[in-house]
Amino acid sequence: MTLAISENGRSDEYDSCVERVTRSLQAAERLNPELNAFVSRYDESARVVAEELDRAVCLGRGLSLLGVPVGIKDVFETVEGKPRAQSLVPPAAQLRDALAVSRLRRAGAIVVGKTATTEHAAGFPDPDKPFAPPRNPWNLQRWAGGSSSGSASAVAAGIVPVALGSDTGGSLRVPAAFCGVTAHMPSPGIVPTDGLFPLSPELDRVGPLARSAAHCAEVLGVLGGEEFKPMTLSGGDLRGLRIGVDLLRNHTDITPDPSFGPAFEHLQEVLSDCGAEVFDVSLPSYRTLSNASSIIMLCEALALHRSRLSERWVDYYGSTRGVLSMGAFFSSDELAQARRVKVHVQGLLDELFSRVDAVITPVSLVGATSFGDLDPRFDSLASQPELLLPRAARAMVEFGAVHTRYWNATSSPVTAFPIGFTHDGLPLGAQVAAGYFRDSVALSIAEAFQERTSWHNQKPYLFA
Amino acid sequence: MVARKENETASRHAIHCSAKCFTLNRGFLTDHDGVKISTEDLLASFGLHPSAAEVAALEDTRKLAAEMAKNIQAEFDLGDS
Repeated sequence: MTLAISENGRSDEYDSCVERVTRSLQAAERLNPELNAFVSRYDESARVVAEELDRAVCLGRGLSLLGVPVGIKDVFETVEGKPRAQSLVPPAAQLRDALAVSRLRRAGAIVVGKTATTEHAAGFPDPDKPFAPPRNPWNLQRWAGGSSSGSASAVAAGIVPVALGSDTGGSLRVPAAFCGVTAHMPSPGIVPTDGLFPLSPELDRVGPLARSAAHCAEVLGVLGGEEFKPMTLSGGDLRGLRIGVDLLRNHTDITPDPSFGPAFEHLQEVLSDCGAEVFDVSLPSYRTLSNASSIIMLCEALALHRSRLSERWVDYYGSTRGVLSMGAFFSSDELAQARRVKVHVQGLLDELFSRVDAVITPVSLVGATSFGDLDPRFDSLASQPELLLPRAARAMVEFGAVHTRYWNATSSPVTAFPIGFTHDGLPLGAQVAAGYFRDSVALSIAEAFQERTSWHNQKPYLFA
Repeated sequence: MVARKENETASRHAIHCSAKCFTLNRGFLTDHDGVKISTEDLLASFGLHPSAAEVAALEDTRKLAAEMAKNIQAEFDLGDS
């Protein structure tokens, strides 16, 4: 079922673009006051575009994402409004479309609004700042994950079938896992970052969030531009594929949710049933490359924000200040070493990818974090804001339960997808990485799992 | 043709940003080894002026940064070249 036929899985009738957009806007009107998934809505312009597209359909114009409502993370430029990046210190930006956004539009997608993020795609929600925290549709007391928070929340709640996000240390994959949706971080270079306010130009990647891997593949075909060949997925047949699995047990102090082990075992069984050869592997230099990835990100992020952070320190979120300040604690020698480690481990990883087609690891060992755990002030508990600085920075770079930073320092495409639920009903996610430019392999493996399971089609009961 | 032009623009943008960051980092980090000067002075050299309580809190972050830097050096001694 393609997105252009029906985002709701109905093929028996054709929905006009106006009908689709109206349905999306009505859902946003009803759900957003609780979810805070959208920070800006473009109702009027979305309706006008939908009417224009319906007229174009009458003229026989075919578009691959015709009438598909999309949410855009609030770090991308769009003609409807400049990005604010959830900040009192918004980025310098132009009133134009980011390249990724313009490609979505040319394919017939309709931008219905900007989705919430963490401040400048870093840090965590801050109750002292005038931006409502993006909530998780599966439990409103839980965070949607970051930093493509609103994009994942909006897709999970069914407000939009597709949203655009970015990923520097896990910002597509963590919210996808926390909200129970699918996200794809493409190979570097496939989707241009032009018009994205960067966090770390060396590591930033732009990608889609949708309900399924098949839908992510469709959107990636558009985001990749005219010279990117449309992908053909495996259709559920994984015969001949060798899939390595690394549960990263030695790299966390966190006790996994009781449901995590059985969910991962089931994932491996399903992939074996699809014909893949599944076996254990060990990712090379896991902790070291994860640290190198963080060092590069932190140094680049400070470089980008240094001037404004200096002038408007207190206007930044406390957690963002903590994260950005950390870039000051690395020397140029250490940054250079981080970049050399990145190149060196890529060589080790290339060797691994000569023996396997893909590697599966967890995104998170537990479900979505509660707001109270992120910041006690959300629970009205006394807390000194300054104490949150190191806590936020530590969480940002260690985040013991989350395993995403490693892949940002590689050239691998990575697809994150839901594999079950925690003992208390929150989504759990896995990620599958493949060799450079083998996006179709990662997406095919996720698609095969989704053809035999229904986790990706589960909807939060609050919003079903 | 249009796509190629867009890609070239995007690539130039990325390279420009990356080069700019690296230059900045080289410039403002070279004089500091992250150990010998106080956290307050180190942050001040970047133009950052947290409160005294924040500076105290960031000491913990600095220790974490030192652990990370030590880790990436310890596993790979890639030499000077």
